[in-house]
Amino acid sequence: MPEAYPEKRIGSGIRYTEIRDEKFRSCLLSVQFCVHRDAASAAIHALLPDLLTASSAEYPSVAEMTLRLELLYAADFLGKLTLCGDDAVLDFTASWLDDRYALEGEALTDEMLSLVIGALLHPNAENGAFCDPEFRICKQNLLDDIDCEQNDKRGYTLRQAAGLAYQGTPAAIPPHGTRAAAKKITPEAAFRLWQEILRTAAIEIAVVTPAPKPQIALRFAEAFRAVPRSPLHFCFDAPCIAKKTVSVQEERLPVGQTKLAAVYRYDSIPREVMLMLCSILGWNSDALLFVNLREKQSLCYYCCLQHSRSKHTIFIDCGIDAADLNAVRQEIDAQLKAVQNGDFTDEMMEKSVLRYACRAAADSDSAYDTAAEMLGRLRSGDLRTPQQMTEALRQVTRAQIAEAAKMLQPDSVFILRAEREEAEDDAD
Amino acid sequence: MQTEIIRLTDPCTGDDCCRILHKSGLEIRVMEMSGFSTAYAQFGTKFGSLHRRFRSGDDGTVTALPAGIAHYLEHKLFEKEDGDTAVLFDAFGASSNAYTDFDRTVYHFHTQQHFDEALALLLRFVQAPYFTPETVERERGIITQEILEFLDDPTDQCFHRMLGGLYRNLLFAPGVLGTAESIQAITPALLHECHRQFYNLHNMVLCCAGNVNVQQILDTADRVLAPAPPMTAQIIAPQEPDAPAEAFCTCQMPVGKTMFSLGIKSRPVSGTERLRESLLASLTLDILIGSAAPLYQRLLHEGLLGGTFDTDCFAGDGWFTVIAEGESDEPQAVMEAMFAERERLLTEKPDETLFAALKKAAYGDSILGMNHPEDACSAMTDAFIWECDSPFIRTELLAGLTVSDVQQCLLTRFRPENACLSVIAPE
Repeated sequence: MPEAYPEKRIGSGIRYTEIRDEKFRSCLLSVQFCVHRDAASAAIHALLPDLLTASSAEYPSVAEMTLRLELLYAADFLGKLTLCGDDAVLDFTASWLDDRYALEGEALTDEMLSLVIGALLHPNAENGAFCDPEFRICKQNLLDDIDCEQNDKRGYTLRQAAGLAYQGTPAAIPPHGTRAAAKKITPEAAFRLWQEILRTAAIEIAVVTPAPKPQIALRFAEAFRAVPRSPLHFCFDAPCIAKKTVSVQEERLPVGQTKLAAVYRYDSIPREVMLMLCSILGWNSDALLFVNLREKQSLCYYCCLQHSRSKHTIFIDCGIDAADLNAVRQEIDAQLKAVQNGDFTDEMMEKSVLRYACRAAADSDSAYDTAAEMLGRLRSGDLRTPQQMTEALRQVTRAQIAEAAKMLQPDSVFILRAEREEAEDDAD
Repeated sequence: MQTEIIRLTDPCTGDDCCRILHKSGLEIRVMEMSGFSTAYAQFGTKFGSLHRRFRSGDDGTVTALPAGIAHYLEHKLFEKEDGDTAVLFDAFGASSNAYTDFDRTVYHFHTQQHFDEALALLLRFVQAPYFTPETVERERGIITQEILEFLDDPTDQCFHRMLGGLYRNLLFAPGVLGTAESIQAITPALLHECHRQFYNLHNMVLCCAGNVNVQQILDTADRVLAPAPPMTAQIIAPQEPDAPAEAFCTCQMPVGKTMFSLGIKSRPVSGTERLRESLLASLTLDILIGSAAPLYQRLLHEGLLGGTFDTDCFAGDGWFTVIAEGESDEPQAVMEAMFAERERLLTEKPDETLFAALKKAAYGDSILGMNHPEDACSAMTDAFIWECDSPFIRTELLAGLTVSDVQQCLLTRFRPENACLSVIAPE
């Protein structure tokens, strides 16, 4: 079973947590930098995870970095950006085979620590600027990603809905930033911002390992001793601001299926109540949206619900025929009304608790999910373990769920309307 | 027939896998994984979207099936007279689902508790079809929406068009889901017939991994499974010529940048040889154009490749394809560079250091590939579908691969004349 050791400070604003679990054959290290976002920095934040994992001073090209990782038995070193409330998290995750499996007795943990610390603190840069061609390639990749945002129609619809709901706040800035901002990034500006992040970000380090690895904390502490840290404060909660009227936006695209994303906001609902509400409305196999929109009325293939804890919002999205738009919106409202009226069974509540427990157990069987769960707890400040949360879910009443559903306010709707479908309907 | 148990051990990790030839006709594969809290189960049949013609063992009649029927059957099996079976799994705290692929349909669940009950439910519901004209009709709207989503996905379209271009007779097109038109021909009677012919226990496998116990699974199987009649239906597999149907196909979609999928077909193989050839082809792809290869580095610097690029070996019963896909403004130039590099590697030898590094990496992947119950379960299902008795032969096969094998693979499995380039251009 996983055994979490109390987190400790290994530097100013640097928290370190180690979780030991003998069943894993690999070690996982996650280093997260929490940063504030604005229009100018968002694009650089999107660039940095790729740039810093593509090469380093020691391995100054993608080929050299990849070759090193392959020699370490297909070790991984990946960067990604996630949004959290109005802030962003630059996440660098490395995983490697535990030392005992090395065929030639290599000290894999020490080698990987050198690689990761090297990439983060001694990147591929000279004279205060990231080096080309790696910088140029990563910047072009970022521009391509921005240009290709519409390739994934569902993701695009959800991002547009978020932009609408969070208008006027940093959370409305697209995850990759704007094309104009990305175009303007220089190697110097990107390097300057990374140095600032090293000084000011709140840093969370989590390790999941089958055996004690004291050298990880020691080496990170040593590495950051040279950095003049003055960490900023970060706030997990950044609720979506209430609007006077529901924002509705529509865009047309030559595709076959119309997509709809509806956003609802709330002021304050305890997490356990919100988890129960989401399960009953959209997550369980007999969730009201799934059963009514898909199974009973065949209106869609998927009708999904996502919850943003930090923004106090839920997103409901589905792919439909444009002709069914009104019917779908009415049905979503009707199912929300059903929850408000307490029109769901005790069995659905019990299943919601079981579903959460099953998911928590599944998370504990993956090193990546174990680290993510722990880091999520630390970031949000809700330190309850999955077992404690399961118990909290059991205590939630029908009245609390119904009351919470009444607090959900329609906020924004984004529709990606299929032009091709409409043209075919006209032809008929 | 008596139940027979064969124990297999991974020499590298000490993992054990039990291969059980159950008296019912079902093959069961189990990996008990100490320390894991979740149990996974997959119940699969060798019936997928490519299986579109079969000869009945009853009277020899040949039946042609509409595209998408295997997937339609997967959807409908969950529905019973008293509702959706997934809801019953929920009651055990289990999470259930299913998928259909070209060569298989697999029903699965995972749970932390009530594993026995959930396993019995899995075995029972997959064997007990319940189709009415109303329920079958209702599914058409849902699957039509799923098809529309698939048609709007440029990555899926690029890949499937490449397969359609490569394979003249194997029915990769129109994809696993079928079309809005083809699924109109699906009836309850046809679904029943497919179920009767292909959901025969002799054609199926049950794989369990994680927090499970062999005896517990055997007890459930003994209780729930009745001996199946011999499997008599025969899939009629079309003969496939060496040459692709077309060398190039293109279409326009709302995408931000040109996408491509390059496929090269070669002689299909089966059993352990398929696994060896797949490992070798993946290694060869990495040497040719993987991210540690000189060619990849050059194409990246020249701006011909971007961040979205991947390679894969895609093989099954009757097909073997190596794939390179991604985004590029000049897919034709990428393809030409790849074939030029092939020529170079056939003349000069592939880099021994890179080869050794990639073998080490493949070894690491093999060790980690069985360190999660879901991965272990999927590896056992794959091994069954691929007709490999053991899921533990990867490391042994890898150890035997040489640089000469890579050159042979380049020669036989990367022939330019057997390629199809599929391109999706922005509208």
